[in-house]
Amino acid sequence: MDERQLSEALNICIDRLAMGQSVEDCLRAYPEYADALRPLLYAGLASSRAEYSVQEVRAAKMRAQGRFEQALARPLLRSRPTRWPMAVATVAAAFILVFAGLAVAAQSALPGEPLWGLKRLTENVQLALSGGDFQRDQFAQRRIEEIALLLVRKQVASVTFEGTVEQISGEDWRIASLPVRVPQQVSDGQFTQVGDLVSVSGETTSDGLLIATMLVNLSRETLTPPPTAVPTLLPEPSPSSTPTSTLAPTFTATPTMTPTSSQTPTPNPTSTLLPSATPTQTPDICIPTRPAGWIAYAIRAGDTLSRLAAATGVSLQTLIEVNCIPDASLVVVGQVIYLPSSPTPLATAAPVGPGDNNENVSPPGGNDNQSASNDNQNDNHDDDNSNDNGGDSHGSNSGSGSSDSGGSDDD
Amino acid sequence: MILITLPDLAFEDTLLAGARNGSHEALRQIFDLYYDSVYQYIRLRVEDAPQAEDMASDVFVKLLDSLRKGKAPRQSLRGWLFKVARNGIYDHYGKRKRLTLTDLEDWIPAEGDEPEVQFMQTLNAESLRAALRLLTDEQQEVLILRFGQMLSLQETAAIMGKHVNAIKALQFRATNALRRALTQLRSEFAHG
Repeated sequence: MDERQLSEALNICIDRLAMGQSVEDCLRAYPEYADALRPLLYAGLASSRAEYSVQEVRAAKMRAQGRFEQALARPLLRSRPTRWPMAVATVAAAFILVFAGLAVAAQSALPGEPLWGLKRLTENVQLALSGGDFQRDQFAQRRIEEIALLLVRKQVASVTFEGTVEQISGEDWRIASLPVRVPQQVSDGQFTQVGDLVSVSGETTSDGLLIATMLVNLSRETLTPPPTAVPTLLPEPSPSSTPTSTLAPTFTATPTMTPTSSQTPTPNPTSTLLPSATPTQTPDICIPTRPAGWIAYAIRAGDTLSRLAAATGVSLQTLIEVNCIPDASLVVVGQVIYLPSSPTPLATAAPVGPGDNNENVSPPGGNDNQSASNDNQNDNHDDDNSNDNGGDSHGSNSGSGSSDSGGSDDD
Repeated sequence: MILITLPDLAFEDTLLAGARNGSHEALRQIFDLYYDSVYQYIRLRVEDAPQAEDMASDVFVKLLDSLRKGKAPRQSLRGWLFKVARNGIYDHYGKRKRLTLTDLEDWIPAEGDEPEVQFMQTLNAESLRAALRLLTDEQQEVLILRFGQMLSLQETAAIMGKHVNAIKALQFRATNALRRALTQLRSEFAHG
């Protein structure tokens, strides 16, 4: 038995325990290690029961509280020179103090309530103070991980986060790898498409659902011009093309709601309590957890899981398990998965002209949204699409596994 | 077992921003939010209850001190608190290490053993603590942080000042060692 792999599997299972899975859930994902992992995981879990009684902690806390209050009574802020001009610092401090207080209250504010906007505003203040894109990314990533935890633990909370729309299937969306229920009235009028950056506010429910109560399309927010300017955003004809009225048809491509032709099957969280002896059964709830050092990667056209596995030096099985992919042949372009490292980039074939074959033809399964996004060649996100068709042909003759039909079969 | 209520990290950062600007309310909330888990963490490492209690409240007084010195953390408050707690424990014990069973580390588990797992689940907190104390300091620590506090690999690595790969290896050895310790306990139960 490979001790190193066992150690990796152990690590992943510990992470999954923290996300609310049971030991047996995780062992089903690692049948080959189940016997070796089981006692280790139970031993680890036993260690968490070594904690001291609530009574003891409470008594200690009460006594500690007195001491803490005493320490608080001494002045907290030293009047030492700061790098900022004093006046600015004072105003800023007062500002933040007010925000800190209000932000606490704002945690429970619902959309439409006066404190609602403060949630994001507060973050912006924090970001401005601590600065940097890195901070912003970390912030966003932490937030999303926290929400994933909330969902698994079925805790009720108000949440706000930003992320890229990865999938739209009726009211069931996936945003930043989170499943989000976006009611019609919430998404209405914003013409959000896969690939857009959105800010979502919502509620997690005791059923483990995340329901959006507010959705702001940040891509459109910054790009939407005054109505009269709309034509200027359309792609210009290539210089060689003769000036004709060919642009006219593109005006019909006003953004519309994405087709909702399929229902994405979501795992039913209520069935988790049923133990099963079948070792091959996938866990009922499988939440992808990023193993340390791994990166998030958006599936591109032409990618197959087996190729990505080969390119990053892990087994196909590992990729499937870590990313909770129920069917290796069903990964869609834009889907974000975790990889041990960045795969060697695909040869970027020259963009092929937009094919007609991706209109209105949706294969059964998860690809509907992808073709929907590709239809809109004249939106502001054609960067994302430029490689799709070229990548297809590349992908179709790469890879060797039995299950690598993945990805991009838009036709 | 969740000692910490799920940390809302944005909320934590908000609290921290408040604390850094001298908000007593934010500081009280920080104390309220984290005292229990900091206490448990220390107490599991320090058998003397009054001593552990002092050390736990020291952590929060140190937060105030560092605010006064302008050295308070800007983020990862939870990690900072655990780190201070850990330093306190090490200061207290100095270089003196407690009983360790190094031979536990190389031990590789036998294949599945259901009665063993059942036995683990019947143990009370006291027996579990006794078994835990047979481990090295770091092994105890990694178990407490990873299983008890459910901290991420990265957070644990930051608190313990180690590389994530070292933590992975350590938690593997630690679960093995604890399993071994529990097995010993079990045979003692059986024979005594």
